Amino acid sequence: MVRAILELTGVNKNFILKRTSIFEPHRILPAVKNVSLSIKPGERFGIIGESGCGKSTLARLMVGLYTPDGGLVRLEGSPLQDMPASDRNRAIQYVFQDPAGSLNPRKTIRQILATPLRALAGLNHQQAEIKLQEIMVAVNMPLSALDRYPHEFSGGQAQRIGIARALLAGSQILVLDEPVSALDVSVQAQLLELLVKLKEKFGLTYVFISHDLAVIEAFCEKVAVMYYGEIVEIGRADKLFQQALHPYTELLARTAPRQNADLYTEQQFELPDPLNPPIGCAFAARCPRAEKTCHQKKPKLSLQKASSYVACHFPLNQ
Amino acid sequence: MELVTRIIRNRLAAFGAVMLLLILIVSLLTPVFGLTDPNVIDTSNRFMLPFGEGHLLGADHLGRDILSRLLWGTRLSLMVGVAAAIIAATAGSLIGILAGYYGGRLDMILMRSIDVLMAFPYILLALAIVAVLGPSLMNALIAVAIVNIPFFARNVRGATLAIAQSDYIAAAKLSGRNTFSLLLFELMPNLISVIVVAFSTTVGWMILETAGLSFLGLGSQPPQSDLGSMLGEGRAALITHPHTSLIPGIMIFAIVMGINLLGDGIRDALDPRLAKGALRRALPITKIDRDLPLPRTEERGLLSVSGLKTDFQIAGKTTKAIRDVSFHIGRGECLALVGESGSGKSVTALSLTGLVASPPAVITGGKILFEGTDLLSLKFEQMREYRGKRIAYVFQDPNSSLHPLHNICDQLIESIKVHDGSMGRRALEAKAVQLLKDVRIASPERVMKSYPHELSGGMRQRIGIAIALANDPELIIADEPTTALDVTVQAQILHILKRLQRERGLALLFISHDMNVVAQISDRIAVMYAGQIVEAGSTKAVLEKPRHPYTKALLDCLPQLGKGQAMPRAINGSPPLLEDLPDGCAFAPRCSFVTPACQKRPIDVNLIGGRSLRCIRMELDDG
Repeated sequence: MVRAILELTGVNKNFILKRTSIFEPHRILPAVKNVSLSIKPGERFGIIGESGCGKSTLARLMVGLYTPDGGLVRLEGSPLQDMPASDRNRAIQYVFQDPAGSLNPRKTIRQILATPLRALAGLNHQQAEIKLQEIMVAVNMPLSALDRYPHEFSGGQAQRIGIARALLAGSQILVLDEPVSALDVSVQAQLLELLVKLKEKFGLTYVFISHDLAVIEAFCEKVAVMYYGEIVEIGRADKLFQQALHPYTELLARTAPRQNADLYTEQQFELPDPLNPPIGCAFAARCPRAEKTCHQKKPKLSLQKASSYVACHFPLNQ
Repeated sequence: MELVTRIIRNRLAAFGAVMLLLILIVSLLTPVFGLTDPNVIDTSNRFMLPFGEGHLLGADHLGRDILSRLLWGTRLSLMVGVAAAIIAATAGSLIGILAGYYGGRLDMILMRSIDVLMAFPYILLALAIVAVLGPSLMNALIAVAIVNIPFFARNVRGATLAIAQSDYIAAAKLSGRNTFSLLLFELMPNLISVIVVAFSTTVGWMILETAGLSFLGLGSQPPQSDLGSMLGEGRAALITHPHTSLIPGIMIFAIVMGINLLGDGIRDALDPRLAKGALRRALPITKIDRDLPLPRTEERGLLSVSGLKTDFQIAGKTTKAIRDVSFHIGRGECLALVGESGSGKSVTALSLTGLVASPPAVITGGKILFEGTDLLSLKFEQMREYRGKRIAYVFQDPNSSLHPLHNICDQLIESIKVHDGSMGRRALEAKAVQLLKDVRIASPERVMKSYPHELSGGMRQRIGIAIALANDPELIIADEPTTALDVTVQAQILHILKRLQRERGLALLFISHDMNVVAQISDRIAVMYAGQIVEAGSTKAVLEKPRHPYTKALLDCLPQLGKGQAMPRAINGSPPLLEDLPDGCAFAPRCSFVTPACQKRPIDVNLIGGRSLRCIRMELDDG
């Protein structure tokens, strides 16, 4: 068994919201609830879910931008919280969803990309310059781009620069938070191709977060499905959407637009209040298979068949 | 450099800058003018009028030379004012940055202290500070600086809050920046413009305030002159010898006005919203300047567009956003306009009812027939009969098209009333509820009382559709209506649109970048590239057998669910710049079937087997 390069055990993250009046207690929004994951070296691991399901929070927990309120994030066995920030940043990096927003508008690309080389890799000016030229070639950008400012680039180009910045820290793991969602389809395909190429070249491990099932299926090997801060299913990307075990995964797969299938929509429902989560399964109110137990007891994520996990009292294979 | 030209182009700011520059030069050169000592008393010349012998601007109550006192005083006042402003800006910015970046308790303590400081009237506070420290110009400077700290602290804190949350600050943290270098090298450069604007708009005030304290005798002490003390000393003789107070008064006026005019200019030049020309008002309807003769259009269905051309004219340069676009939609039909960003699909949609902002847009050709009327020949008043009433829009972001301060009920009623003023309140409310039911909102009475921010994205988009339906339109133009939504919600919205279209015989123009979505809702597809429709035909046929190389490439680069780990095939290169289009086919540089003929001349539309195509190759294939 290959040792996990990134492992999460029982990770929780709560956000404390502003009080609506001083007489009320602070409201707590549980964004990530008891998430456990294990990602192997070289894996392309996908995380899918709808907006507000906690996938971006989970991503930020992985790179240490947030600290968990409970549980552990381990990088090659050692807890992330105990690592000095610079070691952490050398080991795991993050690529942002909004490519332009992740580049400081007042800095040239050279200044932006030189920062990790100076601060993390400890290179001098000349060594850094060589590295910069190498990385620009690797992400298919002209060297002239180095002296320009972020606003001069299109979304696809800005995202290449964002990836270059993450790679220059020298890390083996990239957490890609919706890296292609803001891009046009043709640019999206170019970027996915680039990611595949870079993975081979640098031996990277990807955590790929997206709301797009087709992109996840095409790009990832393993997928975790998130709903209301929890992981409801983990499985192989090529099987997951065809033979879903969790009714929510099935719903996602059926509502995703396809060229060869008719429009499917579910019945009316009310989404649960995230501030006041239901005791049982969060999906129960929407679920066509829900029974009494589902509303009373929260299902645990458990092994179903070969490396497939599902959190459901009545998974679809039964 | 660009900033300087932008400031100078603003005439008032340029005037202020010139005035200020003159005063600055004069006060800098004061020591070399060889003026009489400002403090030499000569009682024989008491209250000498201007242009008197040896005293160009006359003399004051002690017979001292007013010109000399004025120039030395101006020098001093400027120095004190600017020094106070620098101190206030530095201290205020520091407080603002710390409060904004760290937030939490530190923010609370710092900002509440600032609030306390602001609760006192500034002159009272300054008086109190001077009273404690004792009257002197230095103490007046300190007082004025302290009084102005809150202004900087608040401005800078606000800007810091926004920047500290931004992705690039997170990215810099991950790049290994420690907090100190993060604040200094990443945050600071983005705050400079805020600080400069705050500085340039307050330095004038600070000069006035220092003058005020000196006027009250709390600032500069005799015999030293500054503008305030000159005014104060001249006050006793205000009626009998007005020139002693008038002259320093005019100087104060000139300095403060110069600074304020320039400050406003700097603010306008630095404000990104103003820089983009937001102050320029767009015409109520897109400017139309069509080439003649107009195309002869056969009417097909409800809406027939032929040869539509829309240009953007910016700074003398013409960008052809839409180049000869023709399509038609029948009643009860859904046409999808598909393309990537910049392909001109939204501009096409907005051109239909003259909603593209002019300037810079000009519709330069074509005809838009809606039930036999050429929409491009209508005046604004006539167009209003169509806009929102017979032709309604649903936009991508329902948040920006809903008013945040009115509840849903008011907004629905408003959109009904604009076009039909005959209904009473009760009937309007009933109709509004019915509209919400039409878009499948489960509890319309509750939603009626809600405000937009209380609703989810999917709910808001339903409201957007309900508003579009308010006047029973014949055509709905939906511009990326589901792009911002989750898949499960997207499916619901598509379902609602499709049902409405079927039940009411609505024509639907559905604009999207997503072929998968389009496949589920449209009857026909028109694919746009670089401002042209390159292929149009029935949805099924186009998806099954795309004939234009761009359509094919676009389909190939879209991952399909159910295909397993099959990586999509990317299109090489990037779309052409609209300002610099090639002579021939715009897709030729990226096309794998390109021939020399493709790049020679524009490609015409060909009709082959129910498909319209802009491609030479297809002509040859199916000849």
